[in-house]
Amino acid sequence: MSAAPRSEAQLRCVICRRTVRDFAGLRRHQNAAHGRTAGLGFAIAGHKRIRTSDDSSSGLGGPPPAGGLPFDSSGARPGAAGDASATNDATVRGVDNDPPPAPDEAASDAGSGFSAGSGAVSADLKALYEMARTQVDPDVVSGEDGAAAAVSTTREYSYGAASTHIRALYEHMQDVQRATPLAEPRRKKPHTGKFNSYRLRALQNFVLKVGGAGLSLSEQERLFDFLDVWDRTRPNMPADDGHNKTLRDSFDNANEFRSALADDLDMAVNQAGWKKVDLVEDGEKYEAYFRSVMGVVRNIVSNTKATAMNWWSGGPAPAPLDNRRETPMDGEVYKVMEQAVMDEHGPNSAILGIHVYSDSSQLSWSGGKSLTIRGHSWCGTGS
Amino acid sequence: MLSLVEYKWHRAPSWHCVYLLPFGFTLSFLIAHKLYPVRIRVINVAGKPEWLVVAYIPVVRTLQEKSAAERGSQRRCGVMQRVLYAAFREFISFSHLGFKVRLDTRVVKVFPRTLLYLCDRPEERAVLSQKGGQCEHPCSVCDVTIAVSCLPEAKESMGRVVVDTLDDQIEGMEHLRRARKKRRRRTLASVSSASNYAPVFGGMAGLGTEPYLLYHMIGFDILHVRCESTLTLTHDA
Repeated sequence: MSAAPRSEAQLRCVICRRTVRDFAGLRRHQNAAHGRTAGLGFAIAGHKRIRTSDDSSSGLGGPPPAGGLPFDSSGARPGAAGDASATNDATVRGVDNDPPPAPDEAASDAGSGFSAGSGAVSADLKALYEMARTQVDPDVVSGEDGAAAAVSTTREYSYGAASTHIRALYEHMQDVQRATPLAEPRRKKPHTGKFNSYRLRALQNFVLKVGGAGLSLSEQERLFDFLDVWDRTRPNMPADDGHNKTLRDSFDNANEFRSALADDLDMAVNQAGWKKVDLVEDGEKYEAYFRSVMGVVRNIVSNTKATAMNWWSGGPAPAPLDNRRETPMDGEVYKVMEQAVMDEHGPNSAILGIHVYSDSSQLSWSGGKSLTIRGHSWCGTGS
Repeated sequence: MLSLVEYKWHRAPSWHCVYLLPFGFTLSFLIAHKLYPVRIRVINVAGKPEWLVVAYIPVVRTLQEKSAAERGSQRRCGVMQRVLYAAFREFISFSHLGFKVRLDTRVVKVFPRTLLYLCDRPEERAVLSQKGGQCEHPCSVCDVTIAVSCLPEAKESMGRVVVDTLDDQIEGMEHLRRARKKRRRRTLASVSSASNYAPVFGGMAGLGTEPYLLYHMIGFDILHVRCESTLTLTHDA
C-alpha cells in the first residue's frame, strides 16, 4: 500500500474556500497559507467531530513533529482521504484549536508545483501524517498487554503504510531537527575568503594537505613564523647576501633541493660524531649506531657555564653521607665514588657522574620525568 | 637547523631509508630494521635534566633455527655489550685516567663515573650479562637461588662478588670467542647464572674496581609510572 494519499477530485479549503486537487495539497496549502489545518475539504454530515483528547506532551508515543516544529497532536485520520483501514473512532482536528507554527519555508501550493527544501519536506510529512494515521485505542492496547497502559500515557498511532510509520518513528526522534552546524565559528565574525590569490590558495592547500592530514595548529604557527622570515617581513631580521634571493636562485628543481637537504643532514650527523658499525654475532649481521659518550660529555662540560656545573656533592667540597635526597649528587653512590676518588687523587679531584637509560622492551619512558610523548624511539630502515 | 640534527637523523636516499628519532616517534611504515636508543645524562649539570642519545642498539630477533632461543639470547647479549662498549670506550678509559678541568685558578682532575643505569628487568639482566627468565640465580645483586627466593632462607644469601663473577665471565667469553671448552663454559655460566659475555661496565672504574658497585648501578622507574610526581628511582644515586 502506498504512503501517498488517494487523490480526490476536488477539495475545498474551509478557511479560504480555495479548491485543491488532493488532500495532501489541501494540508500543505493550509499550513503554508493559514498556519493551521482545518476541515477535510468536504462536508461531513454537517458536523465536525471533536477530538477525543489532547496530549501536549512530546513523549515517544506522541505524534511526530515535522520540520523542527511542534506537530499537530490530534489523532486525525480522514476516512475519505486516508487508507482503507479507516475507522469511525478516528478523530479530526477542530478548527478552533491552536494552529501549529508555520514551517520556515513556504511550501508549494495545492500540491500542484514542485518545491524543494526543508519547508516542503516538513509540509509534506505533516500532511501525510495527518492524513494517514489513526490513533490506536488505548483500551485495545491495554487489553492486549495490561502493562502497556500503565507504562505509557502518550498517544499511539497506526499508519496506513509501514513506510509512513517508519518515517514517523524516526521523525519523532527529531535527530535532523536537533542537528546543528558541524563547525562552531571561533569568532563572532569569521573572516572567510582571505586566501584569495593563487599564491595564498597554494599555501592553504599545502597547509591542509601536507602529510595527509595537514599541519597541526602549532605547526601552522611555525609555518607562519617561517613564512614571515621568508617574506623578509620579520622585524629586526638580519639581511645577508641571500636576502633577496628566491628558492629557484639556489635550487633549480626539487631533486636538487632534496639532495642539498640530505647532504647537510649527513654532514651534521657526522659532525656530531655518529658512527655506524656492522656487528656479526653467531653468523648474523646487525647494524648499530653510536657516538662517543666521552665526546658528548666533553661538549656538555665545555658548553655549560661554570656556575651551572657542580663538581662536589657539598658545593665547594664533598658532603658527608646524610639523608638529604634533593639531587642525584646527594645519593650515597655519588658520595661513595667521590670519596674513593678523592682518597686516591687528593683534594683537587672530583667525579663526573652520568646516568644511563635504555629500555629494550619499549614499554616506558623513564627519563626522570614525565613526557607527553608516548612510546619509544627507534630506527627503521626500509626501501 | 643543524643544531637539531645533532639529535635527530633523517637520512633518506631513494633506496634505503634510515630514521633516527630519539624522542619517541613511531614510524610504523619503516619496521624493517629496529633499534632502540641508549641515553645519558650528566648529573653534575644543574637545572633541567637533558637526556642525550649516544647509541642505537639493534633489536635482535629469535630466528628459526636449532636452539633458537639460546642462540638468540646469546646474540642479543653480544650485540648489546659490543654497542655499549663502542659508545663508552673513551668514557671507560677516562674513568681510570681522568681529565683536567680548570676552575678559575684551580685545576681539578675529574673522573667520569657511571652511577645509575635505568632500565627494565630484562634489560638489567642483559646489561649485567646475566641470564634472564627462570634461571638458577634470578637476583642480580645476590646469589639467592630460585628455590628459596621467596622463602625466609633467602635472607641468608650473600651478595654477588663482582670480581669473582667477572672472572668467570671473562674466562667464559675467552672460551666462547675461541669456540672451545663448551662444558667449561656451561659450568661457568651456571655458577652464577651469568652468560659467557663480560659486562662492559665491569671495565669502568668504580664498578669493576673499588668500590665495586657494578651490581648496584641498576635502577628502575617503578611500574613504569610516567607521572613526574610519582616517579621515584629505587636506586640511591
